[in-house]
Amino acid sequence: MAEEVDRSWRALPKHVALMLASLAMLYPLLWMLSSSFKPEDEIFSDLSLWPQTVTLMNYVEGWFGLGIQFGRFFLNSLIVSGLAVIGNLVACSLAAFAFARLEFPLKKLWFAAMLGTLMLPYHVTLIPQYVLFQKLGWLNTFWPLVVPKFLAVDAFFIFLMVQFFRGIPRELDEAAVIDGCGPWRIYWSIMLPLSRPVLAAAAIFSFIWTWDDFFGPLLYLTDVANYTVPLALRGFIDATSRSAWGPLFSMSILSLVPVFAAFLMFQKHIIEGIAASGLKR
Amino acid sequence: MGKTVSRREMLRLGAVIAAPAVLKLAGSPAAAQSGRLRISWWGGADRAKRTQAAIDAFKGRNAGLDIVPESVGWDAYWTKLATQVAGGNPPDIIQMDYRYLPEYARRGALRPLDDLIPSVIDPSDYVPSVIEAGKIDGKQYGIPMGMNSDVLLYDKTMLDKLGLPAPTPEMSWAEFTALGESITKKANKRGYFGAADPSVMEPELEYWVLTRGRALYDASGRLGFTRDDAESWLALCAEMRAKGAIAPADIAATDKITIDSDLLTTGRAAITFTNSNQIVGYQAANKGKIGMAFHPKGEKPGEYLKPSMMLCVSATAADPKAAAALIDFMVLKPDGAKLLGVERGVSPSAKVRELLAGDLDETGRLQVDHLSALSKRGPAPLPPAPPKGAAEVTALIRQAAEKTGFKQLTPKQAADQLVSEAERILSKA
Amino acid sequence: MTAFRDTAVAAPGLSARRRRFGGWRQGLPGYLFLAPWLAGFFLLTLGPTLVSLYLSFTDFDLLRSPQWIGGANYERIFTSDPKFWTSVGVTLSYVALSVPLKLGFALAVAMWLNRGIAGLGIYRAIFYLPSLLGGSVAVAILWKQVFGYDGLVNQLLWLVFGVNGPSWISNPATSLYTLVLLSVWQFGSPMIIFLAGLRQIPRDLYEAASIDGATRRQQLTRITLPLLAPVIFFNLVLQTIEAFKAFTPAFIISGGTGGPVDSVLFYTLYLYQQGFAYFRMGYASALAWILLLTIAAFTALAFLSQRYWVYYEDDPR
Repeated sequence: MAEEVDRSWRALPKHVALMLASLAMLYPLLWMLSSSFKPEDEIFSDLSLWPQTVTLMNYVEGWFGLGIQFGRFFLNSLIVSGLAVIGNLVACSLAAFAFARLEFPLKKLWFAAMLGTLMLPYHVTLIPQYVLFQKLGWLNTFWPLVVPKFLAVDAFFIFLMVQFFRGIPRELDEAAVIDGCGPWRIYWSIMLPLSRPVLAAAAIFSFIWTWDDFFGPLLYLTDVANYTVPLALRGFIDATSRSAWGPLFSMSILSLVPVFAAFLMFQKHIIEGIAASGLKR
Repeated sequence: MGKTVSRREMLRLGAVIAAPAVLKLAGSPAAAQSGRLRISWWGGADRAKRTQAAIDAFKGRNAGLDIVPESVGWDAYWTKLATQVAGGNPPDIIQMDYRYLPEYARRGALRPLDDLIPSVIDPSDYVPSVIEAGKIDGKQYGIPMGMNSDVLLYDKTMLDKLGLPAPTPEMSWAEFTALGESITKKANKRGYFGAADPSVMEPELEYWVLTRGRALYDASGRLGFTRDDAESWLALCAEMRAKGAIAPADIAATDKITIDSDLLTTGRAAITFTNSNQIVGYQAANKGKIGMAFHPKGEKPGEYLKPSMMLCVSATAADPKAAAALIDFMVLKPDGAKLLGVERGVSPSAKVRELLAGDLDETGRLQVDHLSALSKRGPAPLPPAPPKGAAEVTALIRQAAEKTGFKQLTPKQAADQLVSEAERILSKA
Repeated sequence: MTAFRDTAVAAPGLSARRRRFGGWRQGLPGYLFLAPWLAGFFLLTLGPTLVSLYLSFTDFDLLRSPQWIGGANYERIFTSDPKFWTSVGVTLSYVALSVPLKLGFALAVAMWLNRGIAGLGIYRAIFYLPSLLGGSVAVAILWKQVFGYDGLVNQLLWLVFGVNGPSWISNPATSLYTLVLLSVWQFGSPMIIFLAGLRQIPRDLYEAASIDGATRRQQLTRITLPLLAPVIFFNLVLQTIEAFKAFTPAFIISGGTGGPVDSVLFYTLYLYQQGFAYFRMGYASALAWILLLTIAAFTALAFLSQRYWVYYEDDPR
């Protein structure tokens, strides 16, 4: 299936506008990239995008500087973020299907409770949650970062999927019921295939938000070998003593690569979406 | 009927889950195990490397002992520590700041070390006022790792370029203002000023009130300075600001009292106010050569020797003796102290200072020279430990400075507000 | 399309009554699908939440056992805490400004980047970049470079108008607006959600409409917006909740102080200061529950408004 694409000159003004806007979006990245090649004493005193002195030392120091090679932190983050994507997609889509399509007693209560969990600032549940995970013996493991995702604790994704599931015409599953399909078949063979855009969006957010999460790993991971990327990145800097800003920026640049790759991988599915799955009405 | 059962069930379930968590929120027994020590500090990569080396050396001498290090930057450190302590899972050895020591010690989170002194740790050759600073209500909770003092840091390269002299030890505030004015004038760069704004920094107000024979707090935890002290300080800073000697309010507001946002580092001022041991971080982030100087002189001495940071043992540590032995190794034993160097400040122990004198780099030597000059000149006595509520007073001080800086209040109004608010907070705490 | 709907209405055994009032037995599949969430809710979420509610009625200094003090925290918040009201004012302005701006921007860009020209995938990726950076340290430094004393904005002002601008980010009169812009700049997530929503609208509707001679404007108001309403609703509710709870931008930009002069003292930043800087977790918990009730009220209003503007494909009629 080919999208009609305007390759004519008429599209030029649009391209110019988009490119200008892109520049505003890219500026921070360019600055970070240039800082990652600057020597330490130039980063804050000289804010220009072009380094006066170019050095690769930041990358070397960044990769080896924390006593453990940075690759280890990438691996940890990939494991946690990968599992988070699977957990969120499976558990949240199950819950969302129940809320969007099935009838059961107390449905409204549960739905309100689900939304309610989004409304409390996390600062005040930090300590009881810490106690809970400590009692479970999960400190210094990935469990506190991963298990909640498999139990659909992030209501954002449930609500998101509910809204999209409700956008799928009910006639489709009613027809399926007539054909003798149970809820599971409707969920698996109708809802999920038709929901590729939103599942892809949820996968993007799960991956990126888990990858960027600093607070969870900060509290629950103590052994440096278990650190995720953001936690390791913060190991370079301290407001009150000597910080290693160059290595921080060099590794920050590297850490954007997997996140960006994940974005590109999943965004394809948003775009193909329904058009490819051939929903005809 | 179904509904009621379910609601009751839900409540019961919630209570069952919640109850043990509530009971265990504070003061629960340690999850610490013997044979295993957890040590936690704030700092960057450089500090982590040095500390890890010292830990490894200690492990080499104590076979079978497992030591787990945890380190993170300043901001995150306090949130994490509070959560761990409240959750009943504190590290055995805690790096502690002078400001937070009373908060943790008075709430019973730390173990007094008096019974292990001098048998395990022997700080008998420490500078007396510095070891004293680790005491709360007569008990020794903290062992200082290094000492520092509030100082001026200046961009020597810039002053040389402008042909201006460095601040001298006998300089008055009027002379300091004149120096700041000439820097601003001669540099003639938009957004560049003689000095950072000291009024937003609590230690600078403390310096001011100490030179007037007062202190931020008195021994019983009440406010130790008067409206007049605060007003004269805010008025002095307003005058310096008006003359262009120090940065204006909107630039001062970008200074978050961190090395990377400091006006010296960001190229906005030639002189700043900070702790002597932080010169290491400043020099690393600055191109120009950094020098160290005394504050403008007051009637009485206002600079004093204080611990840059301390090590404490958690109240629930399973093996306090082993913890104390590690502390001793890091701050007093030659092997350990050598590995840490002066990165955490100059050692308060004469023996260790002598030991390290040989391999000091330039920033290390500047610190040692400055602190010994201060000892000769006669430092101010150690002020009483900050009481509960001090953190809020710090915020009030900054607020008062910003309100005068942005001309929302006169120095007198701001001083009135500061003192009455601070008194209210301290009386409640 | 119409024929399809007729079949569904005529389908046996699916009366609206039974659909809406499923009994316990009919509810079994629902509970099975909901089981992971229910387990998470009861095992992980509910306990800590109830504890924080309990703590809001106590004096809890983090390090010693909480002491029950009844409603004293709440009373103090409403009667003698001027900073509470400051933070409420700051937060309400932030919500009122950032939510519509961010959503409008995200929707416009999403429609623009939906289809039509080459290289859209690259633009989309670039536009999402600011959101990738999240609340990292780099953002704080960057924003200072844009809105600082000789930041990008002031350099432009100098070039174009020859005037010297102030330091926008550290001026009490303007600092909040720079944070609003920061939030608008990070519009990636709602944009992606809008994009996914746009992709769910069947193309043939547009084709049919243009055959019928509908203008682009009519297509927007008659097809795109109505069919996108559930997604707009989602973004509205979620962005409002997020804006009420916003913490990181103010924390990193102000270095945790909420200054200058409390101009960016967001509600959750104040709550964090009370809990972790001043050791008053009981008080912080009370603040948190007041916030929860406020957000809940706003959300309830949004849900009630749905019947006037949000249409769902699965609405029985």
